[in-house]
Amino acid sequence: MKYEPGDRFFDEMFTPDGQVRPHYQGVEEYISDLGVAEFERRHRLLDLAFRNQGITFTVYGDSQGTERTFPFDPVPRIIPAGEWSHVEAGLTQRVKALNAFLRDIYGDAQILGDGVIPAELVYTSAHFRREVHGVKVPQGIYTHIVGTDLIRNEQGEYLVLEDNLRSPSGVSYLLANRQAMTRIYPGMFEAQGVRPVQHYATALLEVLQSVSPRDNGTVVVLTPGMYNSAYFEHAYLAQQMGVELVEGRDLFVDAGRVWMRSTGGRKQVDVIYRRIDDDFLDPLAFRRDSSLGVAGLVEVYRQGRVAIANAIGTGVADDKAVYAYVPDMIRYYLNEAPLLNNVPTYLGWNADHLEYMLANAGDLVFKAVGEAGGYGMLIGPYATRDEIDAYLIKVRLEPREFIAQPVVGLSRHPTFYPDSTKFEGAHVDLRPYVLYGTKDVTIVPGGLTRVALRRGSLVVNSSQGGGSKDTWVLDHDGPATPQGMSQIMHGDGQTTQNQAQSQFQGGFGAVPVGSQSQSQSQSQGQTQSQGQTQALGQSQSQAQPSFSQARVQASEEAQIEAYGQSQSQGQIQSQAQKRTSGGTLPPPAPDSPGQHSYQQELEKDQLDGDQPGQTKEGER
Amino acid sequence: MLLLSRLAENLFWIGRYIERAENTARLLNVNYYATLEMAGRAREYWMPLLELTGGDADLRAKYGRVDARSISAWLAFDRDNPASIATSVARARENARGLRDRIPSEMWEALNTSYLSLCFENESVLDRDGLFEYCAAARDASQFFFGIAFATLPRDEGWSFMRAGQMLERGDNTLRVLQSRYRGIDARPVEDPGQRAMQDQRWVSVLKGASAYEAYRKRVHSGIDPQTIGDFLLLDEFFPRSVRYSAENLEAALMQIERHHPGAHPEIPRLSRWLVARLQYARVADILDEDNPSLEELLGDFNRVGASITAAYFQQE
Repeated sequence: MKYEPGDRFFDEMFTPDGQVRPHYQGVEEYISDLGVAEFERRHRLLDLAFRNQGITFTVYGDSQGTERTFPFDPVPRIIPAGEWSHVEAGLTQRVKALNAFLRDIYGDAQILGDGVIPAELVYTSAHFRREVHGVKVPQGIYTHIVGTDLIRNEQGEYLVLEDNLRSPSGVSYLLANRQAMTRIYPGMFEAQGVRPVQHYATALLEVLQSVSPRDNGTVVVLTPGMYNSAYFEHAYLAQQMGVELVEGRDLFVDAGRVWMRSTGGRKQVDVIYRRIDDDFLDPLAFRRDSSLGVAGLVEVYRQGRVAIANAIGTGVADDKAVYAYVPDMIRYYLNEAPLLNNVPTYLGWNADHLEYMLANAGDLVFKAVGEAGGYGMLIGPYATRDEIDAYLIKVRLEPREFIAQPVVGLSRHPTFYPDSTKFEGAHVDLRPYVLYGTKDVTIVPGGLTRVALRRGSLVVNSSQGGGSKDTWVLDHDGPATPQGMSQIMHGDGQTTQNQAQSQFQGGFGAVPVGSQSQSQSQSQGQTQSQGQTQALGQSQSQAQPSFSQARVQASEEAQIEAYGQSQSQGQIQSQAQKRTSGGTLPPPAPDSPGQHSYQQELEKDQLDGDQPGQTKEGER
Repeated sequence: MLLLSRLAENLFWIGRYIERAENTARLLNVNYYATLEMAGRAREYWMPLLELTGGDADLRAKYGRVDARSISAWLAFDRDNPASIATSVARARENARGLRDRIPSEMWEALNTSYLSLCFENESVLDRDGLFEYCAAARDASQFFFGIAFATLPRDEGWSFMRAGQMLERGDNTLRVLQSRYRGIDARPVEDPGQRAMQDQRWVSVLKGASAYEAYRKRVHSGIDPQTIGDFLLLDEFFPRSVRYSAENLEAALMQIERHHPGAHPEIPRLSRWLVARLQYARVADILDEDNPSLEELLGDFNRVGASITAAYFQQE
């Protein structure tokens, strides 16, 4: 396999001197043996499969063909067992602390009383919901589903970029990616020891049922509707769990309970897995103009007669300013040292930090705490002096509303580019999905790996030419053992089956299909989808509620693009290195060192595709 | 087994739209190829088809002419025509999208694939002589979809709603085809032998448009006659696209639904059984000569059944 890893970023597959990392050896050999032509042919098959299955996200503001497939790269991202157990332990710890925090602040608020986190920060958060203060949530669990965003810095250290605690999306792509990969590249999985992921829906249903106020309660998935960009995922999860997918208009409140309308009359609903933001859940409690929610729902919730997942008000804990204190929460509630570090964060709320932020604005990435999806950002190194000055006026006016972080170069991963028919490095992140039920924390091995397909870009955002990869977690650390391979290949059922073997059964006998005519029609689809990726960014900005916002976004996109380009020219590299090595962070950031990439922010809403527009759904 | 009202409605309309796409595809295909071998005006062939789908005003406004080409494009690809093949498939797919968690993935995938191949075409299909393939693909899409449903969809209420939609649409369509033919110049045999041959051809087209030609030939040995064709398409007990057969199956589907809610909506069995009874006991002369009941009345009966389904199951609290 021909590939140039480079040495500026951490490469997932190769060491800086060009050696394949042990856990990638099997895949590297498979790809080399397969050859580029065949690899490419199957790549097209994959795209066609996604189109036909309608595994798409919706683009608003486009009259025809408003659905796009999510670009997919077939070179899998691989995480060895040891590395994963570290990530798993770190995420488990983090989610437990975050739930303890939410229980606390919607109750006695001891952590605030003890002065660990400034009370002002919590109570001024736009996502703090007074309406649910004192409500006892079932089993004390607030975040049943979490999709934490992880990145790896230049040293390969996993850092938490963001805790998505509201309603994180993307897990359906994880499942669909795996299914498509096993169908089209079965041989790649042979004897590699890949841990399965398809039990996610079962685990999710278990978690949801465990919080039901009644025994054998009825679970539903609440969607804003089929025009929502993440609709595929809502339908997919409902189908996989075998529960009803409902819209707000299918539900109503009567006699202190929630019901759904059916051909046979009403039926009581006990657990709502909602994919709608707090604001839109109940027009009586939150936004009055919401037609997506259910009037009276929050009152029933308060009475404990319906469970809502994730709970109302979880957004306060992923407020960008509160995020900075998660390591302190871990120490406070669990009395443990954090296993996964944050990206260093300066808070405008803190006078010392603010001073540093204002003085070094040109080197930092600024973010508005309540915003997501790349809005309200300033990218210091690529902004003009005027832009910086204009932005800093806002920062001085409302310091609480802003944070700043240094710039991080994400790790890279070999990725197939059909236009050059070569493997090239592209930046990736990782979003694992954490389920928190009464029994314990469950994390499906791996997560969704997003990849910045546009050359040199650090933006993994789907609207910016981002795609995804299948993510493998292995049950071992090194190369797959040849012995295990021969056992599987010869189907020796008598020998003790190890985990790797049992996992591969599905892959066998599945012969990838393809004919000339198929390849042809695929190449059409391929070019189409490529062309569409560009249109995507445009149509999204068109869908913005106002002109000015659209302009802001467009200019941000331009900045990011510029950033990506200049990065590829190596300009920022020296800066980033200077910062890490020189330790030029005068006021200590509230947590341990690491680095950050602002680009990730951009995609928040867009991966989930939640655009402000007709239907809005809370990301995170 | 619980069924949300919204989903019941979606299933009902999927049944209707896919059946509609198939019917339009059959009619268009038969007509287009029939006109190729015909000297003179195509009007007798094309106007009934346009009448089925709401006249030619919109078509004229958009294309500025009414000919085989514009009509074909209008009926096949035009998303501005609410009854075109492309529109019907797109709407069925839209409804199915709202049901993705409910119907088997295979059904969804079949419909989605058809949508991708059928709903983004235009007149260039005609330029490359591809109309036959297009119509055949639309017909296959319908049969494939219902075939998968037949093999994989659980026989619960949802199935019955889809089936009811399909049967209602089929009966409605056949009635409309007959209505336009018996209203036109072909209602009575003409004397002139040359004219007569052409007229017979048009009646053969009617049969073929309902996929009934071969079945008719096997069952009726007296040749092409408007009255016996009417008898066959309206009242035949065994032909699955006859009006009677459609009504009987509509009634059966509604009775399946009724079993889940016994006695809840007495209007539905009353109307549907009345419709079936008329078709079972009326003679073809009663309908075509005496207007007792007339084709219009039968059509009205179908529509009343449809309205009662909507009122009973889709609009309730």
